[in-house]
Amino acid sequence: MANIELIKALSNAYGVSGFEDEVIEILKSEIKGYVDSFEVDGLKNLIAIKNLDSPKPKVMLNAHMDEVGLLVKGFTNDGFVKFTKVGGIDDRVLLGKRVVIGKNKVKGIVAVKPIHLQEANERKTVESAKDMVIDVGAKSKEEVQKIVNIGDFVGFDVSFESLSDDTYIGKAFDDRLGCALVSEIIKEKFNFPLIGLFSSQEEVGLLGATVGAFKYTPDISITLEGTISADFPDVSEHEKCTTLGNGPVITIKDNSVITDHKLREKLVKIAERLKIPYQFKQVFVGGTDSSRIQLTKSGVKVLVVAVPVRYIHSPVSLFKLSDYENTKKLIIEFLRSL
Amino acid sequence: MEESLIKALSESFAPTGNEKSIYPIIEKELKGYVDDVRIHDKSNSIVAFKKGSGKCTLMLEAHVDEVFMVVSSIEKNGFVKINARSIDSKILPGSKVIIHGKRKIKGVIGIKPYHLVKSGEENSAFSFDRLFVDTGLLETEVKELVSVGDYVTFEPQFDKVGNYYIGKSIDNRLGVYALIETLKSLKNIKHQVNVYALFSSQEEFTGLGTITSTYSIFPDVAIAVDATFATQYRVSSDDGFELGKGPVIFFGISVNRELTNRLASIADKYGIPYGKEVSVLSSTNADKISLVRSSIPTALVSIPIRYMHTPVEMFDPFDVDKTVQLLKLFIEEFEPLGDQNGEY
Repeated sequence: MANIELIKALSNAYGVSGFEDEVIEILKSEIKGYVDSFEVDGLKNLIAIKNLDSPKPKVMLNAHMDEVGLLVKGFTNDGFVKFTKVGGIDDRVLLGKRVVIGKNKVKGIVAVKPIHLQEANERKTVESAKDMVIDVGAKSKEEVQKIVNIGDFVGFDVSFESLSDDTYIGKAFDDRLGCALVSEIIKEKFNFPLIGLFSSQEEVGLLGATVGAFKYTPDISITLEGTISADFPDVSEHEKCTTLGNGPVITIKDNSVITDHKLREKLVKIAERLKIPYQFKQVFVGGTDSSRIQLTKSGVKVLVVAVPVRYIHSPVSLFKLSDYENTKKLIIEFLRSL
Repeated sequence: MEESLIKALSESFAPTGNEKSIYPIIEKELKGYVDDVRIHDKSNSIVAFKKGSGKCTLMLEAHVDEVFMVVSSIEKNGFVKINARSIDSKILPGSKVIIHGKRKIKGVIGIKPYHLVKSGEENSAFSFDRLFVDTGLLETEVKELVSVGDYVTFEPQFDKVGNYYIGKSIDNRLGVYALIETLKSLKNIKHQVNVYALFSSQEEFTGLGTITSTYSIFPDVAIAVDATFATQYRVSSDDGFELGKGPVIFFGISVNRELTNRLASIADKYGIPYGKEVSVLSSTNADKISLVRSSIPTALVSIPIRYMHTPVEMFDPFDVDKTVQLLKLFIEEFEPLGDQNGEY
């Protein structure tokens, strides 16, 4: 059974790229005692290792800890907070949203002009994020500067919750679902060397993973993701990518990587043999850490498997637990077959 | 300010035309403080009465209803399309809503991921015809629980942000709150004027509650309490009033100037800060009350809020407290106007 409490804690934790500390602490206490050791490198990658003295081929499980968010860049004279985006957030999910700022979780909202006062042309457009502000309820620039600092992260103020038995909503399922999967799977018993790479700064250019596989370089690496599902209205058929409820998403190619054909065929055979539903990612968009891990030293064979998630990079992303369970089962069976 | 009361009022649901679920809160609060509370049957508004020692009657008015969306269709795979008159579709992507079907159903309004957004597309707003609610339920379950025409409201989440508070339906639960607290404050003071408090339905649509209930109450004078725009990012003092500077008294054409001046003179006398709003019409129920029967002399007091008609309407509790103080003092010192309505 999936560890819902772990997924909840990971989803609610703040880890905007470069600020992954809360996530690191949750993962450390989760896997402590189940791995031989772990370390945090200079880019804040959390690396856990297990059975490293075994002569068998080394396997890496990878998930990124960071999430998209905002970064405080200044203040207006009347006491509002200016910000810049960290990672791929659509300007249109920001207006009127609740946020928290920095370690002290100062509450704020992204200001929006009331509909009554908008001119006809304003109603049809959304301003750029650079022209938006956050209102933290301060009365002056002096007051806001006492509670918010330039360079503070900004995250969505939203809580993990269930919509139905099988459906959950929250922020940062991309890629805390991957983090939860790696934590759960790494606790299982395997007889080969296993490296867990919880990477940092994926959303700002796959930075953590660029160096994360250097010290403990695997022969095979599986990146576990929460990936795009666009199986909803307003998206044309050929752009729907994946379908919620249809099981783990196996990437053949995305915008950053072509996965190893032989390993992928093996993965698919296992899914079919065990009747685990699976689907291929249908659109070549998005990039993953696997593309950087693949380029480490003389090369690493990589796979990418993901839980389909609707509305990623928004405060209300949504996934089905059955997809998570099936992804976990497929990866464990695959690892056992090695 | 009684934070728990304004929170309860903000977090209750009273979409225009279906306001009754908020009435038990009002009735409970007023118990022991007023002489009568009754439902105005034809408009489904609620009216409280506190007797004074004299003959003249004052009606305080605040609308209880909130802006809302409705289900316009149920699509393949159970996605629920919605529509609304006075809610900005731009604030909806990434938010949570409640569908008031056979039971309350929570859902989210998502948009396609950034990876699929084409260049130039990001800053064109989503209109209602492209948005939908995802409940995580199967199409068959959605069809069992939800019908076209069902109300959809913002998810309630009252909260404190810095010096201020935020929540849904602050427009016009602040007015409702002000009326309740004003009535409560009368318990230990002597007042001549008889006071009605009308908590009216359907302001966000036709003003049904106020128009018909005012006819029935037939007060000599009336004061409406509603929300107005506060200054905020992209709203200057041309259109808004600074938070924390007290209530706003309307000095426009559609209200009674003598009554308005009296209200302002009470504020002046007791040092209650207030802003002056000037326009032809107020676009509130005050305009409508003024046109009931052969005209009810009416004044308007507004409380400034930021981000009107969003789930994060923001206000300063100081402005609310000062509004209550102003209304209480006005009642305490009330003297009849020259021309009077009513049978007495």
